[in-house]
Amino acid sequence: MAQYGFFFDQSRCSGCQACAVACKNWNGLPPGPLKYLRVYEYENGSFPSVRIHYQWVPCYHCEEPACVKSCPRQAIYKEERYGAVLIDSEKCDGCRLCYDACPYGAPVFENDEADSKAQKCTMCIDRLEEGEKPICVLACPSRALDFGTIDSLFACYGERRDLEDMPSSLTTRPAIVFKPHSKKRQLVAYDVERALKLLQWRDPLHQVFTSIDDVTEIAKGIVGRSELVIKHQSADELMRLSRNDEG
Amino acid sequence: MVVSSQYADLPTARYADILLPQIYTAFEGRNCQAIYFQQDLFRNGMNLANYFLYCQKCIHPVGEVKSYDWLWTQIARRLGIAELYNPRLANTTDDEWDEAVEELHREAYEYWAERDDIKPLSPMGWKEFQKKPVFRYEIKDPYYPFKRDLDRGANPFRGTASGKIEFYSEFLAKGPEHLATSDDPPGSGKCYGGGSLPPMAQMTFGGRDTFHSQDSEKYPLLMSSPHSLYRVHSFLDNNPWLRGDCYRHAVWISLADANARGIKDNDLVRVYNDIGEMIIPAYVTSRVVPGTVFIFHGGWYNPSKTKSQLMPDGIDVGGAPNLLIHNEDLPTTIVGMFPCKGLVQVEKWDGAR
Repeated sequence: MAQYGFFFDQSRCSGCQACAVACKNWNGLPPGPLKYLRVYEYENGSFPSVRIHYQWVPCYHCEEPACVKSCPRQAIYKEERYGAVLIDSEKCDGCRLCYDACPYGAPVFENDEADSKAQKCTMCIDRLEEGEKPICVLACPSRALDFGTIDSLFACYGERRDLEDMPSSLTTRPAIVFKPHSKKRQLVAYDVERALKLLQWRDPLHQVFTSIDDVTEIAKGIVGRSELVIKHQSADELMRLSRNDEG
Repeated sequence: MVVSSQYADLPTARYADILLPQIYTAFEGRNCQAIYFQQDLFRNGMNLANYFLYCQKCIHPVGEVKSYDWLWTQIARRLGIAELYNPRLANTTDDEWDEAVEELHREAYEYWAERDDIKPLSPMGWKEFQKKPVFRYEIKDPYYPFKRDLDRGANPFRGTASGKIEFYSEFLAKGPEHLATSDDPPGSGKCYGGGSLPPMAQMTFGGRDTFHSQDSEKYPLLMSSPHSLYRVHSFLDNNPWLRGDCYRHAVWISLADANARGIKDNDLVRVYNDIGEMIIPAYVTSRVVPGTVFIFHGGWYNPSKTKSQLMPDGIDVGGAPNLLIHNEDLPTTIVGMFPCKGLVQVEKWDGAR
């Protein structure tokens, strides 16, 4: 069996969601939680040493897909020519065992109703048949994505299938190669604590915040998307976590 | 009376006594405001881009939608000035309109193709061009700003009083009254961006959009309205594949300011000052400097059923930051600038949206 896969360069991704829009457009998907691919944005650190990370989550078309094994109706199968993991919607009854099994939350549902059938990224197999690459790869303006046989991706980009904050690749062996973002560097050296002290008072009369802890101590649940969460309890949660605030 | 020409159910349209629906895309016909010159069709030919495109009308616009060139010509007819406003199309009937517009473009194209500087590039004939309406030429010398003027030894800043780039303009500094009564009226070429039309707000000093303003006692947060990735100004705000799907239109607020107000991410908040108020979700983040908030520019005013003294038509739940921005502080020496910041207060909103 051939195995094709994706490459994601986290250091190039700017979280613009062009790939996600192209995906919805190509697959004729309505606005809402039917997102065959999701782009997550999450925030690390505190002001002023803050960093935004992006994670690109389509289906990684695993070599040992947990979803295939989990389906009691054999509705999910691994296709031979490209190694794409596909769903036979005739057989699917919406039990969501595949969703529970997939470490990446790749199967998506139109809503939270029990009869909502699983759908997922098809690796753009219709385009592959025409000799084209998947639409997300072509849509990326910063060229953070690539597609090819997993061996050619390994040869080109190395064999890294794991990324910080992501589930381990050991059991399912996802057909993905990652390039992680670079380490954060302080380009201009400055004393963070001193900078915060200067910001604390706008002028001798106006205090902007009471103590530096107000800026640096981050209680859970206050900041939007402070960690990467790619599996969700509801369609609402998927929508809330898979969109950004750049608009 | 308010007359408005809009492409969608934009907030401005709701305040119009007369609404002139206009086309949305080039596929519905050409808005040929530049039909007598070649700006629309040929602007890029020799300037900043080495190509231009032409798009034919492919579909009839729905309902009563018309190109604004058609609309203005109709108004000019009723005012009895159609011959002056649009001499070539003044008496064109609706049935002949599209063809006449096309014909003008053909004429302009052929005129352009005969130009001394274009002829050596041997552009294709109009018929041929129509089949694949892209004109592209190779750039041999690197292009730089003002190249055309400089190549022929002309001063690109000949229009200013000093003949130089003016960071401070004595001409504009004479003030709006001068602009309105000057021998160089708006559009004369000596007055970039046009002037002001009376009545206009009086200039006040000590801007109301900085922390130094007294307003900051009541409205301590400085709101800025950056441009969004997902809209071009207000354009595409109504696109559900973007708004709601790719992004949440929210007010960015720092951790410190959110904590002080008992706000956590995705809570509804009321953002207000003395001229406007809105209810939108909060994006609590460390990406914004404490003491400042962001609401991205271009959200459409969407009145809720909740009305207030400040907003008798309904509090905004769409998130249009312009409703919170004073515009009386515009300096007279900068024409065409638009203000993008204001002082606001944010508080948690427990009611419905």
